[in-house]
Amino acid sequence: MSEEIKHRIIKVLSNQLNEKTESFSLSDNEPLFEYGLGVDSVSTLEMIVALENEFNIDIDESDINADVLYSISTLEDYIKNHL
Amino acid sequence: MISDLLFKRIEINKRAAERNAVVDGNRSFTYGKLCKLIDSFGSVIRQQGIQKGETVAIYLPNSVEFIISFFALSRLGVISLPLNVTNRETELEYYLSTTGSRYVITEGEYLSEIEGLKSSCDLKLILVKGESNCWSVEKMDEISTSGTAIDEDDKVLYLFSTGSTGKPKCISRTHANLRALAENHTSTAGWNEDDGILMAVPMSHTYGFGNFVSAIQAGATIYTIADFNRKEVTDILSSGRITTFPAVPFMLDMLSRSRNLSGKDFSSLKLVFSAGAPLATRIFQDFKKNYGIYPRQLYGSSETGVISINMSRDIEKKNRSVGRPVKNVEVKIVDNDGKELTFGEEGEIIVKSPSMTSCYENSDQESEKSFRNGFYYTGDTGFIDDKGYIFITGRKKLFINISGYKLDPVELEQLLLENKNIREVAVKGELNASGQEIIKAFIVPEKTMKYSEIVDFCRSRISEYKIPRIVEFRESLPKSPTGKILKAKL
Repeated sequence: MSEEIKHRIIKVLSNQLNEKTESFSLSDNEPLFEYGLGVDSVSTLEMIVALENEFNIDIDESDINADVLYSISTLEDYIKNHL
Repeated sequence: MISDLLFKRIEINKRAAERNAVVDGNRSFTYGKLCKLIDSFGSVIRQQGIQKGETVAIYLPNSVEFIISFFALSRLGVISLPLNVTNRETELEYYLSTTGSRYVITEGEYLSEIEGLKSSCDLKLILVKGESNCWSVEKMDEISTSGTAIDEDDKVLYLFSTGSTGKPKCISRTHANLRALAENHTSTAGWNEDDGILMAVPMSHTYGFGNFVSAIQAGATIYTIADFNRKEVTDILSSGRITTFPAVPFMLDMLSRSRNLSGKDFSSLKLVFSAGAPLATRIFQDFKKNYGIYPRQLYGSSETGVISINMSRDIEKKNRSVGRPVKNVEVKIVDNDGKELTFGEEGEIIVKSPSMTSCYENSDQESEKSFRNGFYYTGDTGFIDDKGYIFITGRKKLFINISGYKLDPVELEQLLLENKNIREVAVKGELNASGQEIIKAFIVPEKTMKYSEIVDFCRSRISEYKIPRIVEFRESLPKSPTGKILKAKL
């Protein structure tokens, strides 16, 4: 379950960066910020909407802060709590 | 003068004073109250010793305070310089120094962004919210200031336009220009005092500004939103009070892909405008599926104000068009020699409008290029069909369009080169998975750099939308024999 969620998060993130999922290597605790994810409100909202559609969940963008967006691990925690 | 849209309205029609002009969150203001607030704040401006012909910057989000500030300044013959609250130090310094602005109207929340410039730009701040001892709409003094003598050709607004030159170009608009803009826009869109206009696009930009002034002309109610938030927008859109929603394609896309819309009723919506970037057919269809109404493209520029609106009854077939010119606006397509082309022939779009400026304030050379024989040469290419509908097919000007915000890549390249660890840089646009243009920077560093260093460098200096989403570090960049960077090879 956890690996599946992680894989689906990576799929969403790699799409955001025009990268192929297979070649997108990012460790669980690496800051997403270093990859240009969530650097501005436009990219943050795009990522939120893509995650909503991937996981069929509703995310209130006012709930999303830098802590949630920090890494794959923090995103995974957030998504698990909202599934 | 432009404030006649408000003051004459309530003078002629006493009942108009009782109608709602602005709803800002849980605060509502009638046209009568708005006029009193404008005069009250005008007395504050006058007490500062600000003279007719001076420029004062408005660094506020969409809010009743923004509207009050603009009209109060205009009644005193003072030129407004609206600044987007996303603007940061380098941009603010440029805008303020180019226009010679000594005063900035702002609120507590944005103080930290501007305080650093107080000494370098010799700025004085006028606060309208968020500080206990400042003037505010909640504790205004009922002072009636008589207006200053205004000529319709006096300047009332400065805006900046992006593209090709590295530095944004300053544009002025007169009272007559803005009155024409409001009249042309309102009569083409068919607005009246029963309309409710949701202002989520920034009123500090030409598109938002044009819609806000036109809403006042119509006697409609303006609903302001400071930051785009899907829940807030859909809640207001489904309140039954909104008839028109000016948006950009990115907003429409994000709203269409949102999930929790069931049970919401959007049937009060009569018009949804899309401007700032091309509207993809996918977004056009998806928005209709979720909100029951097709978005219509609107075309305009900082130089001209609104040029055209697609009011076609056959919008499904005409969705790719930006419509026919609004009232009193003339549009032609010309070839490279300036010769007018006929229906269906592709060339540069040129515009003549009573709402347009006639030159750039700070560049004779650019003015000569762009303003000829009474027409503004937009730099957009396109054609007009046999029914008079304009279709945009490309652009001659160099800029990257990020969700409706424009960036001249040269502006970012020049800024990045100020970082001593960057030897060479080239910036270009790239489409992401959802078809939106994003910024990519190719950087040759002096020593190993991390992406976050680039972001940190940019964040305090420029708006966040100008920060490159992708950075590729390289050992060198492809160049021509004369040393020019060949972006096409990147």
